[in-house]
Amino acid sequence: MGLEIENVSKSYGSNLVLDAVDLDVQPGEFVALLGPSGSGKTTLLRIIAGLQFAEGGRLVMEGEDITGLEARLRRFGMVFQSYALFEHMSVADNTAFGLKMRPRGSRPSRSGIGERVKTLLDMAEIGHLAERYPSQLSGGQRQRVALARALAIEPRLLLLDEPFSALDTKIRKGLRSALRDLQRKVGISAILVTHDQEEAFEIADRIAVMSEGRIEQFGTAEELLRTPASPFVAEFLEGMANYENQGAGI
Amino acid sequence: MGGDAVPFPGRRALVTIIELPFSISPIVAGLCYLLVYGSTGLVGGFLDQWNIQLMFNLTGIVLVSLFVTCPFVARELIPLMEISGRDQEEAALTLGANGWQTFFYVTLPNIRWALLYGAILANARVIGEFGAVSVVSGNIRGETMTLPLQVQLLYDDYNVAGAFAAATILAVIAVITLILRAVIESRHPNVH
Repeated sequence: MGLEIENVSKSYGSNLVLDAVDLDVQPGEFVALLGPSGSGKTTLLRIIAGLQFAEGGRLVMEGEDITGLEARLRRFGMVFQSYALFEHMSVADNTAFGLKMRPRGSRPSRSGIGERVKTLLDMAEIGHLAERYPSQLSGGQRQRVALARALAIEPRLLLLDEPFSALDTKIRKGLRSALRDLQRKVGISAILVTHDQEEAFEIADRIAVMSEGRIEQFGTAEELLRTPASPFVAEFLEGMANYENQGAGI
Repeated sequence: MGGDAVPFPGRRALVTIIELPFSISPIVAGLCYLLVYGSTGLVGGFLDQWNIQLMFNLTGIVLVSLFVTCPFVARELIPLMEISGRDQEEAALTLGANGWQTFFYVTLPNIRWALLYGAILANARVIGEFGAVSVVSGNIRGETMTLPLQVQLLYDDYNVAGAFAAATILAVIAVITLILRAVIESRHPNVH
């Protein structure tokens, strides 16, 4: 169960960006796609989201084949690298958007939406910012709004595209653990795209190291460090190992 | 990669067609419309069988005005939409919105000031349009006259005072347009 990705391939013209990728995400698990830019990790995430479509392979979510399913019907919450907040809406309206767009039959009442928005904003610790507009928020606050908005639709899966890259290093650490806590609290599976090993190691249960459209290795942080499957993985994680050693030394 | 406009085959050709009115004389545009939509034209001849007449009436004036002014709106909107990318639209899709909802609740509010600005420019252009309109209007007194056509008519009738009065109205409308434009520019400096 959870999400299964089988044999997914994608090319732009003659350029193969995903080469028969396999991946599985267990319920409640946090998976990181880690790799240098151009390794295909963002393309893979966009294919999972339904914003792009694979040329070959299958996507199965909880037993249901979603390979050709439109993004709007997948119910996957996505946090974009730019956050993509609706600039002309308040924080509360941004968060309520997904609920308001539901067809009349399955749409909660106005007060129901209001309550749900309040709960989510409180959970993301931005309840006091409900009436603000995105342009009046800091980077970290914008990220929390994007997260609350994605969680509002009660997603089956949370997709995060480099959600920390626009933030300065100081506040990143705090937000990482906040994100991890929130994901655990909601009990949702999540996939994080990042090029930052430290981030992947700190947040994720399992990490898929990607290079040139392939998954070089998929395992826990410990497995990756102890038994790297290829010279690429070993080399890519070398900086990380040094970092860990330093940490141990102090 | 998410920030680019959607490239599709024929995009260049479409943009060229949209901007065509900038580079050809409005009179030529008017004549082209007459050629296609006139009662002996390709489309006009067909519509004539159903007793539908497009030229020499208000419809003709509106059609040709649209052609002449649409680049003004397109020139405002295309760069803005290219810069803002499609992140917000994609976010709306992942949140369950369909195409129309995405357009009405996300795209349209984001381009509203540029749209208004383009409309004002188009309006300024269309009020003063002479060449294209004079060809398709047929100059029917009291029916298909526009202000610039009226100015010429009065002038040709040796009614100089009347011509200047009408011209003054045109000039006042132009000034009002400029003021509106300045107001929008000062309030929304990022519009264009």
